Amino acid sequence: MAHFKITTKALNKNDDVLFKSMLQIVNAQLTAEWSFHDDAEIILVDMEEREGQQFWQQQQAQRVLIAYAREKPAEATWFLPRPIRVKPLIQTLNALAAAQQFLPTAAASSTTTPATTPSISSIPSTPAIKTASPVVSTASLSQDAFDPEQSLIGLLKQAVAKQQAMCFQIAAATPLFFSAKRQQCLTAQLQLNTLAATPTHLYNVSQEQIQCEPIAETAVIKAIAEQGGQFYPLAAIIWLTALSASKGRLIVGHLLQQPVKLKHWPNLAVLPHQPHHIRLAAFMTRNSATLATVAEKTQVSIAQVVDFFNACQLEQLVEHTEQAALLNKNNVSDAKRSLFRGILKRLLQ
Amino acid sequence: MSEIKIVFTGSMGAGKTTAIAAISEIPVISTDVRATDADVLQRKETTTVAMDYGELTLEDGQKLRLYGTPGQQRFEYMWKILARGALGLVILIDNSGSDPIGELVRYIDNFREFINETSAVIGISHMDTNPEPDLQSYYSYLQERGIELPVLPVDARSSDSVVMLIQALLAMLEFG
Amino acid sequence: MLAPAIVKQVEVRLDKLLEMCSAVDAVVVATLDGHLCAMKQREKSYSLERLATMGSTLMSLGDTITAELAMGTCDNIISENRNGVVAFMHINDDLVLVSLTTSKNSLGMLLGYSRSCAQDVAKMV
Repeated sequence: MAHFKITTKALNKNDDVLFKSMLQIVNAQLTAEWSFHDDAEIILVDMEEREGQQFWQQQQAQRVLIAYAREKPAEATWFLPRPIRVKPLIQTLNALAAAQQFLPTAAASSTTTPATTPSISSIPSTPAIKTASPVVSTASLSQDAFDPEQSLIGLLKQAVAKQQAMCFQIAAATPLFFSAKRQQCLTAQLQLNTLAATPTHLYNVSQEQIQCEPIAETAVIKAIAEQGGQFYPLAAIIWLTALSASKGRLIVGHLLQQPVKLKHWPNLAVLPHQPHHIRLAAFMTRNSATLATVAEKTQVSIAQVVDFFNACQLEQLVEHTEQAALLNKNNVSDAKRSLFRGILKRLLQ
Repeated sequence: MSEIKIVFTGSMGAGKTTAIAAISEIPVISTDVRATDADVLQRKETTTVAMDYGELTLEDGQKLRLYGTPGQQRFEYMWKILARGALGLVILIDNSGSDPIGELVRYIDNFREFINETSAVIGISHMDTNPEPDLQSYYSYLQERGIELPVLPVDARSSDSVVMLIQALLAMLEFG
Repeated sequence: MLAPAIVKQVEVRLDKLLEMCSAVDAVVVATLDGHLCAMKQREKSYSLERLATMGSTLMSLGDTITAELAMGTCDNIISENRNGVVAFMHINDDLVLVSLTTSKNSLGMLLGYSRSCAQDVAKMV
């Protein structure tokens, strides 16, 4: 797990104490480990204090700054609303942690291998920490990028190319059969929620960990008779694998700062999904935005946005746009949002 | 807040009554009568002439009302009455019909103003038995007209399937 | 839908209704799913096709309401308006008769003559 250090600037004593204690309280709910250090690179700055504003002007190009104020300042990429509350604090720190992991030089002492220079010449190199904004950061395209070929997807593609029925399995888990004749896969019922709660499964491991065995088409038919299960379109397995194996890493060949849009909705009647994927599809089909903006507007973590984006990219649903274009949709009132949540809750009971 | 309702509209035989019944917590109040149209009779015996009505009680006691419109164009006056004040629209299209995309055009045109003000989701039924036109054909039509609405296959008998359409509609209302 | 020969008979009966009751301005026979079968009006002042469809909607709503309240079948629906009265009534399970008058004081006549006409039409079909 990555470890981040954070400090504060210009906060009054009460807020400072509150922040430190809140940080401890929420730590268990954070995707990375966070601790308070005076010399940290990530700094929560009180923008309603003159000292904070001056510090922001001086340091914003060098440090990762989080604006602390009642209203989000226009110049802030990262923002924590005043007063400090648990939920916004968790969301801000998790989003920041996810974005930091894309940076070539992160403000974190991560246990993961540090990112190296992008290997594709068209990708501009990024200067060492310029700002924390994921909008101006570049995804690492080497070890830290998601290469679908290194996952089950690569093996499936090979099976399709060879027109060979295969059985894929890890350890003693339920196998996945590929029928070349039907161009479909067969396995037990796939529940994304269940998979998400399982640390290691066929769909999130690298292909070296997958046992892969050619079988006869008749063996697939036999497996249906013996084990039950159901057929899935190849696209559904590729989609599921992309969602599971990405782990917040951007797919090879894509720039994080590039605004993107979806051509249309993924076929969620067939593709396994969770509620936040529906939110993302709604936003990304109507707006052209960087993934960081998508995360901010939909309140979905940047890691989940990246996973969804990768899956959409493999479904060929993504179009790259020159400029971001956000619709000036009338703000949905809190009452309406609360109503929508109430309806969803009732429907999903 | 006034009445909270979602309206199901769309082609005759697409499964509007069935979809409402799939999620309503009360028996659907329907105004189905014996059909006389030859094209209707090929697919079903009855047709809705006024509306269908179902409801769901939310946690705070409010009712989400589900209205289904008649399918045929001649009942178009009911479409407007029922859509008034609705949160959004679920358009169901029967893919086994003779011109499903033409049907979609009709509903989009009729509800254009309402859709612009709120949002809609399009559910395509009977795609399992009638895969053509495919989803891409629907999207191509919508893109030509600059419309960005979700198009999803639906099994009107399945509550999960209908719930997903409403999830998509709510997401469009909030984020789209 | 009705056979053309029967439609002719029905039209004759609708003509008779207009003759017998001067208060009736227009009358329509429609299927319960909203198709116009026959119509007559004194002057071409109404869109009777739409009236046929709306008549079916209203009659069906009436049936739904009375069924919900366990009140048996819905015989008539009367719409009393500032400038006239519209009456909707079942001919049988499949047909509806819609008649209207611009005379506000002719509700009784409208209902009586229309009911008699509906009974005759029921025998024809």
